[in-house]
Amino acid sequence: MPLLALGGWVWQQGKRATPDRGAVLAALRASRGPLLPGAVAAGSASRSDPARYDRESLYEAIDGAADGYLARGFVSALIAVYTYPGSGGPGQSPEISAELHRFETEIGARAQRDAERPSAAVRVAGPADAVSDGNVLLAVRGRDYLKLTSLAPGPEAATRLEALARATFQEKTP
Amino acid sequence: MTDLPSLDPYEEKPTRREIASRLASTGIAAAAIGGGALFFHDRRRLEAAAPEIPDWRVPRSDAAPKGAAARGADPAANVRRAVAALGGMEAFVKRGESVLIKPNAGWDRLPEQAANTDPNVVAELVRLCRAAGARRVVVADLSVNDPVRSLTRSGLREAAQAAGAEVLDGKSLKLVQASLSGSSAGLEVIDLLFSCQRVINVPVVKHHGLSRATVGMKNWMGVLGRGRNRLHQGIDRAVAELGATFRPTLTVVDATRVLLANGPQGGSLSDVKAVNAVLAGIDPVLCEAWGVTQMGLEPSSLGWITEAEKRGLGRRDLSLVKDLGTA
Repeated sequence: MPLLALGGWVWQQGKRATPDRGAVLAALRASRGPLLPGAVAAGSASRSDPARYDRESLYEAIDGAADGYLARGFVSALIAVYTYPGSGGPGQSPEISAELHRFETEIGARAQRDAERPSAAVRVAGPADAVSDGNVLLAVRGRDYLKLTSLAPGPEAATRLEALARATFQEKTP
Repeated sequence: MTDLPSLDPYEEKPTRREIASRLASTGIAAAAIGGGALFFHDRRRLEAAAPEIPDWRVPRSDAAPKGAAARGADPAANVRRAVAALGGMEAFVKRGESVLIKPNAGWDRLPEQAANTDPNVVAELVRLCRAAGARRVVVADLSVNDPVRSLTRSGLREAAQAAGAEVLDGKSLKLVQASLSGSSAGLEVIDLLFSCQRVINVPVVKHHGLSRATVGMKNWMGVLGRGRNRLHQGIDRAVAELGATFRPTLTVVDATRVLLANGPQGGSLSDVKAVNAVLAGIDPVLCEAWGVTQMGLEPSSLGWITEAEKRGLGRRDLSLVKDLGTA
């Protein structure tokens, strides 16, 4: 009899729970860390498969610069290259290297951005508290630090950097 | 404890022959297990004991200049003048020799971003080696970023090949275990170090987040395979150790463009300063000292330079640099 009552209670609870699929997906995404947008969302022609790095492997991506990241509470990173229309193969077309780093705290993320701020960088209106000098764009949202480096400096680079930052943080173009 | 006689009346006593036979079997089994373990388990150590990093230097008189620096807008002309002041490439490379040129090609960056050695500097060295009669000139580096992208975007592949060099990247280079002393023990290196008679180190001067600057000694990281990241622990000692391990024929320091911040990978043009200078040298400590002064740093403030000088690898006395002025 007690078992029957317990079963009934569990059944009632199960019926009452109506999981919000969107919330579940958002929670899953958050637990995996930040994500880089797809090629189309970024306005590029293609994107390399994002490589994921952790505290142990960050050196493989950025060599000796990793120490500063680790000291500021680096947790994980996604790194990919976005290719824009242009002539040539890998290493020749206009491209942007995108690094999305998650830190333990927002303070750590901001400290890393400040440490890497180019000497000529100025505040960019719009994407996630960003600064840019037209070749490099650095932005912070929460504990996520976005570093975009144009591999083809030129007049179009600044526009592409800002568009990619907005796409990453899912902000609308003003 | 006394040795009591057996109480079992049916127990068989082994004969002397049986005892000897069992002992022999046990010995053979132990030797097989031990030998197998040594052969299979620690094979790296066995192989590492064999090849030591060669010394690629050529004998020079004490009176010969230790370094020469040239300035001007044309990087190739700077290389020619600096090398000529040391006696010309013929003083370092003999007819029929094979030469490895080791630039910094670590990053998927444009020449303007100054994270890699300038392609014009490398190409001119290739031409000089060829003119001196080198049988084979190879330009190689183990990039941090994707090797194809790094060698392409840096302009190094195209420039070096056009000048007559073979260009090998991380996808085509072979790694072998090497016997390295100190903290770099047990690492893999590119096999070209053993097949080339002469080696020219061609670093770019730039900022480095960990060591503040990087010049020639740290450039040797690019010949090391797996495990090189652990050298970042105790960076000053590790860089000096690299300087002690690798003894190049010649070092050519590229300060055409100098990355002053956000190294080693850089990216922002606003962090780059056009210095338009090249130094050729045979004293590795002097090369480091000259390089960091191009960034406005005092050599004595950098731990690895002090450490390298203490080890007797060279002198940081900048008066030893022959200043060739601006062309």
